[in-house]
Amino acid sequence: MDDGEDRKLSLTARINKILSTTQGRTYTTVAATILIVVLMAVFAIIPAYISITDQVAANQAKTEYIAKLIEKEQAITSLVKQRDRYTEAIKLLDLFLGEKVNNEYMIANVNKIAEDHNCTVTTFSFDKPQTSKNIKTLPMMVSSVGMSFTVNCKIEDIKGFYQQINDFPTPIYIITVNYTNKTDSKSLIAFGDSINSRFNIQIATEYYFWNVPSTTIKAT
Amino acid sequence: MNKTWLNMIIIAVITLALYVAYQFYVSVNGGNLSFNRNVSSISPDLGSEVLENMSTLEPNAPIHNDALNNK
Repeated sequence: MDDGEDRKLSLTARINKILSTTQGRTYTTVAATILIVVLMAVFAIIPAYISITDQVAANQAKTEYIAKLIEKEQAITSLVKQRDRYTEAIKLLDLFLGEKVNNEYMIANVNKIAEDHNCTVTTFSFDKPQTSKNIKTLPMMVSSVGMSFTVNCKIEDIKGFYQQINDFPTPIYIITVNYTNKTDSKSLIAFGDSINSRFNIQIATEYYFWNVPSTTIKAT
Repeated sequence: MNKTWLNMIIIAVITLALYVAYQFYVSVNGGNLSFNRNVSSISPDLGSEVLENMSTLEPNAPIHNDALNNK
């Protein structure tokens, strides 16, 4: 016989010796039971339990997702109801703070406001749309258009003209105002004359609009 | 039983317990989740305060009609 068979016999003999006693059989049974329990735990129970906890976590995530979807749906429903309720106001808002440059609208209104206060608009000029340099806190989508005009007014009418420009629904930011009077350069005019004489008032302003990208889909 | 063997068994059991505990921790906290979707929230307020103010602003614009649209 070789060494391997001797060792095998020796091992078999040792096992037989252990199992021949009651205590040995008890310990062997306990050890085998523990081994089987550990194997079951490692290969079956723990993966199964982790699978369950994974599913519970997934269900939790899906529940939160559904709750957010429901919340968003409610918000959209609320927005739709508000849109229906404020249809006219939205049209006005679109007009007052539109989504494109509308110089024609500004010219017509400034001219009418001037007429209402016995003033005459003599010049009008517009710059290209750009990000406002005067109001730094504007949202990115709000662009400004530089608008300069000259009005010819009596000094007593100027206040009313400014007031209505300030109250105009489209926000108009007045950057500079320059007054000139023809008689100024030649001689000092009396206070009474200054009230009655007409001034050329050069007003540099900017107005604003929503610069909506063309790729944005508009709801109809 | 040899003490070295006993120590190794104890270390193995502790290692196994730690590994299983870590697996549980990851699982319970959603570390194994493949479901990953986000919902961008929106405000339910259309800006009703501003819109309600529009009707009061309307008279301040002497001319407003759709013809003035820079076409």
